[in-house]
Amino acid sequence: MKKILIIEDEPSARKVMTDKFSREGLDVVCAFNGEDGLAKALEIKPDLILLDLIMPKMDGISMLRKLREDGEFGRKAQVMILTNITSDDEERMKELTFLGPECYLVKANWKLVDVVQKVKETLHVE
Amino acid sequence: MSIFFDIFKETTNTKDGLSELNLNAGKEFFLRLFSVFPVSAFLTTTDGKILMSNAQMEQMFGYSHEEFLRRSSPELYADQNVRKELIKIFLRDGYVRNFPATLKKCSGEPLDVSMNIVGVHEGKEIHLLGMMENVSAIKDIKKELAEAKEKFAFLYQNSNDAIMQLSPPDWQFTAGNPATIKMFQVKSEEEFVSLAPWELSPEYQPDGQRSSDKAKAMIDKAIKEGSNSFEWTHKRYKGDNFPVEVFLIRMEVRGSSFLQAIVRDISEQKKAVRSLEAFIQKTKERISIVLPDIENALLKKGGENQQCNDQLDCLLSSIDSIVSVMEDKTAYLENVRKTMVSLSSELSAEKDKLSELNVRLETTLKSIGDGVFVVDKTGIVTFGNPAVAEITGYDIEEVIGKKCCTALRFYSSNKELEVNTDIKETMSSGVERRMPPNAVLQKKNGQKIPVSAVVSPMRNNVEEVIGCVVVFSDMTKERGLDKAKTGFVSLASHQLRTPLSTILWYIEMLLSGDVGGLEEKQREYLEDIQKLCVRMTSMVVALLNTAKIEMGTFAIKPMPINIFDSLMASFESMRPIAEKKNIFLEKRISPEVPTVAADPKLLGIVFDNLFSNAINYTLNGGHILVSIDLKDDDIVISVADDGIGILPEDKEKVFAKLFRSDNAKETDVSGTGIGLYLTKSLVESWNGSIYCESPQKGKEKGTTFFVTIPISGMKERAGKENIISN
Repeated sequence: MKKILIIEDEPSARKVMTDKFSREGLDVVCAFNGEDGLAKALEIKPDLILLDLIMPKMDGISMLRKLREDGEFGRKAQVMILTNITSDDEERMKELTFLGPECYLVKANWKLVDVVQKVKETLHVE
Repeated sequence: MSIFFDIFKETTNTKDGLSELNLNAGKEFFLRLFSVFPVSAFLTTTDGKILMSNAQMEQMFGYSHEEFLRRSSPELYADQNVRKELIKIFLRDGYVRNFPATLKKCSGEPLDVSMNIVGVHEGKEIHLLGMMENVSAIKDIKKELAEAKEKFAFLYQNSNDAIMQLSPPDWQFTAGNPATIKMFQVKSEEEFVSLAPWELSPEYQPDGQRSSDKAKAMIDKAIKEGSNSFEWTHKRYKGDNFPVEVFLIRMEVRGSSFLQAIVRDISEQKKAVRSLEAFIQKTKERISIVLPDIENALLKKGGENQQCNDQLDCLLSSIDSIVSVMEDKTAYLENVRKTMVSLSSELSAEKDKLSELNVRLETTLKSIGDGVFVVDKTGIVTFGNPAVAEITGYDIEEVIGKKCCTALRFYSSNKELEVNTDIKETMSSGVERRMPPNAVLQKKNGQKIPVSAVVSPMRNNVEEVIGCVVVFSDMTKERGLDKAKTGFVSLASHQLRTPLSTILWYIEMLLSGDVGGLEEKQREYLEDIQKLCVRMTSMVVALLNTAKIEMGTFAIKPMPINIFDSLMASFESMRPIAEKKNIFLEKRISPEVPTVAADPKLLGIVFDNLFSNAINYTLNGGHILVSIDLKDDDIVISVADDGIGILPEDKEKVFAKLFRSDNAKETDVSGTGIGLYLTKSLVESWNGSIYCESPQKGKEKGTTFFVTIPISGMKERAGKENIISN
């Protein structure tokens, strides 16, 4: 069973995502902020990380930057950005591109089923 | 002054752009600081009741400390509108900085100040801390200085006497007025100052002394005693010698001494005196010859000799007239002397006043936080205040006396290499200019900082432009505040979207049946909620875009675009909805329309809006006609529908923010009212125009919207933000 790590500070968002992804047959682990997320990522080494950007303690971009610097797993880890900040901030997008996420999804614009579809595609799961 | 303002800003928690000083945390410190402020400061509640005042404040206004605490701030203003304006600015920006205002002293006298206001926290309450500088003094000084300058300039230019300046260390000539140029018969002032004084005098003076030695002696006496007057012989440049009277006066300006000489050409006087002397001599001789004969004749004849009498009378009256002429001439010469003395002392007094006022102005300029510098017509910086050095990072010696663009480099046009364009413009046109909002100044370390700057021309008494004064201030903090504002808007929209997106997902879970079955009615209600959430999401995007448009911070990135392709791409995204409503699309494209430089994103937003409106407000089975044409210098795109139309009284209003007409609301409840406002702002940002016609030409109903793009294309514009397309 494929493992996914959801790094999201909002409890209700975590709840609904965990529920949905579990129903789709995925093993779900959650983290509440960037710091917690980084620790869990390096510990569990999930097949996919769903990463929010605006979080307390350590934001998404900082977490991803640190992850990429941490060894073999960090460099190759698959990460999908799942946020509510729109992609119009050029500087942020430039930095993010260098950190190599799989994609950048704006939660308010994506149906949950479509996010599931995207996740399954990335994991090569049916 | 600005230092204190900066201290407050540094020790604040900036929340939503409001400056707050946590009073409770450092109350002791604050109170001590308050009492020793070198500027006037007072603390009031938001209603205006005065809570604290410091010694400067009491002195400035003429109230005692106790009297202040019994009063409220409206009593300090002659015109309440001024106070209202200040409060308005405070509420808008969170602070007030350097606002010129006229207040009222205890005596009723007006007081011109530069007002600064910062918010201060005490527990839950906010108080207003006002700090101000007295600028009346500066106004008066400037006025007196201008008058003194004018007077002196007039005297200098128009005097018939030669006025010239000698400067240390070797006492060469460094300036000369028009009369000087004429007297020495040189071509210009430039030529005059290039000559050594010995080139304008013979080698020896009439008394036998060497000119160079005597000159030195005269100069030394003038320096020691303050002034010296003496006769001298000069030489016209490439001409003859001529006698003069010289008044040498020692002048002190800004701590350095120089000599001013007033020189009067007395060749004519000397000639007159000589001819007079000759005439007197001749007459004396004549008298001495004739008189004995007359005496004899008188003695012999006893006085009845008419001829002799006549002769005597004649002689006597000649002598009388000679004597009176001599007296007149002497009196005249005496007057001339007196006039010259008073003229030179008047000039000296004016110059003293000038130098005193200069010192006072300089002291004032030193304490202003703004940089002030003067550039002359040749581009050399002749003056700069300490703030210039502070802001730019250069030493003041690296600025003054050098070409302006060596140290002071202002960039305001989009062309990389054009420096100090506004200064050059004002110098040639004589028109005051404010530099555009994107102006930056390059510091010594290469860093470019945003500045607010004004260039004013300086004229002489014949209205010619002789230089420019530039006043500028560092806007980094203010721009930072702007950035914080836009950051705030982005953050706010993120915060609004977060719960919305979660709600949408929850509804999705409920509707999908994953968390249990639903009754028909329950499903219906959930779908309604879903629609409302989607509407709110688009409202958030629209609000964010509106904020960006109002701040003028979005970028325009043109590239070669085929307008038809762009239009069709926009329509394709709405095809499903159009097909559902059975709306038919017709195209009428002129073949001559060229590819044009346009920003595809902005075009997309505009076309999406036009199509979305056309589809939304057209009933089932309707018809949309799209056309692209060339008209004069514009490409004209029109989207015509046969829908509900726009009433004549609403035609202008539809472009207003948040406006929705009644017939629009009936047809589609969910519109935001922002679409056309956004579209109009975007179209105008690329110098296009947008207008509508309703009903459609030749029909009874429907609406046509026209949008133009200049054939020359959109101009590229740098911006910190991009408009969100979704």
